[in-house]
Amino acid sequence: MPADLTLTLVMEVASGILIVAGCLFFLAGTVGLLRFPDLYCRLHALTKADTLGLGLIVAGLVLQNPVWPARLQLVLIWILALSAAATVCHLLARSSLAAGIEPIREPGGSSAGVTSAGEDR
Amino acid sequence: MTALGFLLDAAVVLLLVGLATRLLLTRHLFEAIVLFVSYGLTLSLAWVRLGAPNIALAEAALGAGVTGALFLNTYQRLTERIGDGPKSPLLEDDGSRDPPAWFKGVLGGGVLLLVLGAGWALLGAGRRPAFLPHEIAARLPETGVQNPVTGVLLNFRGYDTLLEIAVLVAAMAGVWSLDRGSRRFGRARGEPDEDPVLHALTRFAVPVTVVTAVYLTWVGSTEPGGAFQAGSLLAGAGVLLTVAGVLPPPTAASRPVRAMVAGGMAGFILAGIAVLPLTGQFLHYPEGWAYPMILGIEALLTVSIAVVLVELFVDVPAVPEPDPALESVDPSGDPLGRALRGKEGS
Repeated sequence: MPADLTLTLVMEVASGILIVAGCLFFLAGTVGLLRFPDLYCRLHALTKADTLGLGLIVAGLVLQNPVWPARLQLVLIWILALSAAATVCHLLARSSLAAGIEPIREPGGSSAGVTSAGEDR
Repeated sequence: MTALGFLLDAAVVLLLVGLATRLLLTRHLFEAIVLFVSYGLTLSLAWVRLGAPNIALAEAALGAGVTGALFLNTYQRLTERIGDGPKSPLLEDDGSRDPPAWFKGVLGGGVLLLVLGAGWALLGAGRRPAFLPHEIAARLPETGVQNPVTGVLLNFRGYDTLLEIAVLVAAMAGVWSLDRGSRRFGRARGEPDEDPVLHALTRFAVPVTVVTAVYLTWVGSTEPGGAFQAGSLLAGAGVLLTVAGVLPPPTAASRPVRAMVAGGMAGFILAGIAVLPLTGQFLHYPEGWAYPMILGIEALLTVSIAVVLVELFVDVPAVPEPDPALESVDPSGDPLGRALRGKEGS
């Protein structure tokens, strides 16, 4: 097998693995959003999906795309989404704390105000 | 079409129908807003699959992004006054004010007939060769641009686009006439409660957004892009600047703000009139002038659209006091007043 063909094959497989891994992060984030008990845990789950999941998918797509400007654009999209997600997470958590929504302290337990404000969303 | 493409299309269609059904059936306002944004994003995916990136961009930026932000903003204004939660009659409708079942049946049946008729007509039309794309492709060189969408929007049907921006300006005038003062957003730099993370994002994201918006306006003449997509991006940057407290919220009292809001429509109309002596027709650009005129109008439109969208986001009018006059006309027809009175009574 010629060397460049082997390289293409390796890149394809690596790209596939990265994209599937990224999708798994999104799946885990969605499950977390649906299953976690309060707003802060849910934010934690969601932003992991947004940052790592999207990063892995972008890495996979970069391997598939031979054009350099397009690769840089993909990375720029990831950086923008990453910083926006992180900032929004921080702002949501901050304003929720300021609004008096207490985080859950112990596993399985709930504190006053959490369910009434958290469940409606 | 590949099997994977078909699977993706099927998933998008099912998701769209599911989201739309849920959106129509939910009685909770907040859930409806979230579903609306999800629906808009899925719809833009559908436009991508249909090979219409122009509409996909506009749907994602305006349909899902800006409209969703406006809805959330309005929701917050409502809950500030009425209170959140399932007890609030405006936010969680218990169905007690629904029209009678026969009415819903007739309405639903009518809509179903309309959809089936449209689908039948569309399937029938598919068998005839479409003539419009060829006509547009044949006459595209005359428009002064290479992107057929921009050619149609700003040349063949410039009148349509002029009326669209007129609608935005009219909406702005409406909001300004209801204005009870802008909301205070965020904390400015140096204030004790300023948010460093938000300021860091603003410093990084705003320049990138502005460059992208300028590029989108410019590239609109040859590739997907244009004033509406660029304007909504620029509006995003404006909202970020306002929320972070870097810029004061734009208001009607500011002369530059008023000039920017009116600029797009005014420039469009003036350009349309200026070509009258040369070609004898309103908005009929003379040969060789089409490209610079379209680019100039697009640039003015981008600024107008951006300022109007920021203004609409910042200046959600306050919820008015309950109106006793409304009550005497129709006691059941003033849910907002009833909600407010219920809150004050409790």
